[in-house]
Amino acid sequence: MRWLLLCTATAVCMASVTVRVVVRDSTGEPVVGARVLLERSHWGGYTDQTGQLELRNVAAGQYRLRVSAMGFAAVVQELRLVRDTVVVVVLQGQPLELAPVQVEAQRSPIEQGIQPVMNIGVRELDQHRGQTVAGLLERLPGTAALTTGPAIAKPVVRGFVGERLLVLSDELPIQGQQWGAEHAPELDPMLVEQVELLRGAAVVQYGPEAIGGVLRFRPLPLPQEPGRRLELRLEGASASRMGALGIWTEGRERFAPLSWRLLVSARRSGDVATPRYWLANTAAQQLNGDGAVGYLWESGQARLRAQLYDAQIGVFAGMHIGNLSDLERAFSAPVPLVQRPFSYAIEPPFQHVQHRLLEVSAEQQIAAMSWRFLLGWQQNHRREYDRHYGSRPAYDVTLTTWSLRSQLQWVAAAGTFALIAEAQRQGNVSSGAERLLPNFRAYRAGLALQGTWLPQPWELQLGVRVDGAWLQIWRPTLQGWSSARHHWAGVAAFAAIARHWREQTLRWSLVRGWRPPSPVELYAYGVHHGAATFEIGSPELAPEQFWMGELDYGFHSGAWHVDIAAFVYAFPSFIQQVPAPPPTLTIRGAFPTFRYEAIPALLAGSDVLLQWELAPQLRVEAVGTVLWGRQQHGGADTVATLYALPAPRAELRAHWHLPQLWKLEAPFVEPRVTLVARSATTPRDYAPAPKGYAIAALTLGTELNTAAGHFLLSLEVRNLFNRAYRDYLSRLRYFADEPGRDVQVRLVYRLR
Amino acid sequence: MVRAIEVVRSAWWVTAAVLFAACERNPAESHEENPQELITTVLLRVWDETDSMHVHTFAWRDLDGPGGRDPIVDTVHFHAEHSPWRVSLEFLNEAKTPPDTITEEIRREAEAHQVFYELAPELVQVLEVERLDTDARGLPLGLEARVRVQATQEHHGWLRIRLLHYGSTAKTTEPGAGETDVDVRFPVHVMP
Repeated sequence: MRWLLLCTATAVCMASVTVRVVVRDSTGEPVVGARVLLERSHWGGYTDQTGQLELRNVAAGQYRLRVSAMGFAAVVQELRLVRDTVVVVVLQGQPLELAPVQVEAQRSPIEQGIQPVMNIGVRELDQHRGQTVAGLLERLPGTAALTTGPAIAKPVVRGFVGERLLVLSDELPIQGQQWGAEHAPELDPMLVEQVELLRGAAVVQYGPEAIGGVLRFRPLPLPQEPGRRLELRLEGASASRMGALGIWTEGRERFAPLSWRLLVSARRSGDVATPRYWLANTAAQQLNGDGAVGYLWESGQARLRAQLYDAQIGVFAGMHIGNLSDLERAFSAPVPLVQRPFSYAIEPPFQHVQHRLLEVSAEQQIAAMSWRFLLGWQQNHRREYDRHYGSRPAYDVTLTTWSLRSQLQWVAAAGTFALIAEAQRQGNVSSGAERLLPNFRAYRAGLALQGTWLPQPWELQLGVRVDGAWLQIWRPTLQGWSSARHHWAGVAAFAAIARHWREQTLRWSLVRGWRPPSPVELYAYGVHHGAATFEIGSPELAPEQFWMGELDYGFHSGAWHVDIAAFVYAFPSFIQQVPAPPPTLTIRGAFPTFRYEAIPALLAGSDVLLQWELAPQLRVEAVGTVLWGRQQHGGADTVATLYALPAPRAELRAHWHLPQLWKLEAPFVEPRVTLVARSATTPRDYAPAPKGYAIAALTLGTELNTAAGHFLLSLEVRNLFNRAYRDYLSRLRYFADEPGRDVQVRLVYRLR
Repeated sequence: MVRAIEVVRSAWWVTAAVLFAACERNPAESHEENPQELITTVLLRVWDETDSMHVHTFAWRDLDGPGGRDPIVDTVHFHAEHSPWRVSLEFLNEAKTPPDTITEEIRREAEAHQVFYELAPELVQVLEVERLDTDARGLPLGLEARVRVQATQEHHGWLRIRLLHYGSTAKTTEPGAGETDVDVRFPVHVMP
């Protein structure tokens, strides 16, 4: 109960984190009894014999950390806490002079590496939560969403999507049918409390799929103080007449060291409105849940977590087509050929996706060493229905994955080290009327070693990882079932170096990685409806290889927060669909043929994040991304722009905090403008890339504390001026406009 | 309140336990046959309207489905002197034994289907196709047609036959929102 009060008292009851403050003198010796304080908060204490102090249950947020000790100059530093953090403070001896800043705030150095980690905290999420998890990312630089209507969105990071981007549900990579552009991660945005984007070192920590990085959608840690807590979440949106309800409850028992949490959410939306028409059959309904029980002790914890996801999502009726001439007819129509009045009905074509996840994890601290263990089981059952087969799914695939992960981490005098071992077993069974994907069994194992050294003001991180992959497939042919085996092995490596100045940081990193070809890239064979292409896999494909170099510049002063990144990915072999004429003649007409090939490709780009605290009440932000990509699938004349690369985009936001109004606490107004340029048209496009656009949005939010509980309210109007526009990353762009003005209301009610 | 939480919590764990009990199917053994619900064959039966005893059958066949071996397509012959010709279409799945006739299903669901005939530009002045059958609402179905031939010399070209399927969307005389089930071209040879 005390914890609960603490939360409401600060009115910032966000993700709680654990901060370990390590205080040393300039010779590296621990400073015993140093006073540590997070100013303007309740958290603080004194360091122990090892010069350390651990603060638990600290609400995530921005703090000023003050460390003082007899005979040393006090050190004060801004500290941004987003998750479990180790802070190393080096105190300089007297006389009191303005010593250079010696505070290095790092989230567990092993996990993060010294690459910047972008994140969105629970407060920001509560104010902007939408219908999909990919939609949560739009506030981060370098990200976008590949959409198929309003309810299907795949996250895109620096142009990488699907099999080149790892999506984690807390610590477990979600194993769904990543290869499909219309296959979104099986996660409910309402169950996500924190979003993190890890890059660079991610390839070493999480393996070959982390080319674009690792997106981690996390729930909150389990509560550590006795008490119970209940929260209701309500969401509504006008464009799709969506309603969503979430119930979140958590607690910790007095009689046993058991913590638990249960989240259940239901969501229903209808056909979405564009400025001129409804998008027929874009309704969706979902029922999701997440539950966890944890046993916490002094030096560790064990946890059992289960997650269920069940979604039925309509696919826009105007885009499902039988052949190329249907597609051409749909392009040339000024409004979609299929129209219907607003409805919540979901008719074929639609997807029914169920994802079940079970995870057991344990963590143990032994002196300067910690060990984390994770065993996960997931089953992804995807059924896609179309108009041809009626009640029988056209695609019916079940993917079952077992994952095992062990991470040993230790802090030595020289630095921090981690040893990671991972293993995975997968099985895929197809039983629909059509088969694009073979049945397969896959095994994967990896071993990684990583070290971080912090010789002030430098930081250095090195990591290396070895992976082996084994695959056996079965597929039906005219002569019966045929089987084939493949195995691959590869090495990934990561090196980064950073130099800190008073307010500036410069980082340079180099990554070398690889990715084995996926079963669909090896064995796809058939018409891909919706894309109107005939896709042929190449069983002889070799793994994808890449090199990546990145330069980051950070400037963090009281009023300014600037992060600029420039990066280049060089792929000697990039697995991509390339045109393979002649067209394939079928009874439904001729389809352009595409074959999976490994071709050279180059991708370069830059992400920018600027935050300026113009006044204590006013913050201005700008987020921008530019990408440039080329591929070559033959002679010099076949160099072309990479397909489906996000267009240059920028978002400008102003966040204005108003003074307290009556009982309304922390009211704010946030206008924002999104500017998107035109993408380059590639040879694979059937129609020119849509024009650039600018749309505006406005968010209003406030909090209310009453005897009955704490309310968090926000109102967001998207596409404020109801503009008709099309987005290059939307698979609806050939057929229909994007959603029109959408008024979204969110209410979080935390019971006392 | 607390009681309610307890109830929800126990319900959750019972549900989860039941759901997770489902086992994985072994991909090495789950070799169920793929019942190919496809159309492999379009038969075009052509006869002189005054002589239904002599029926010529032309076929468009792709027995191994999309991809693989190329389809085998017959050339359709029309003589101007026997005009008008009657044309009757048949759709089959010959991947199954015995072959499945899909034509009856199309006729039963006439309101959700329509056949379109399209001629090569060089044949537009030579052949004229008229659809004879209709659905219950009087819209054309097109499984039966009449072909009139007007030629004083030889002509070569093609006849495109499209079967469109209208699911939840309204059928009109235009292709409109129909989804293509069949789209084939027969080479056509016209003799005077």
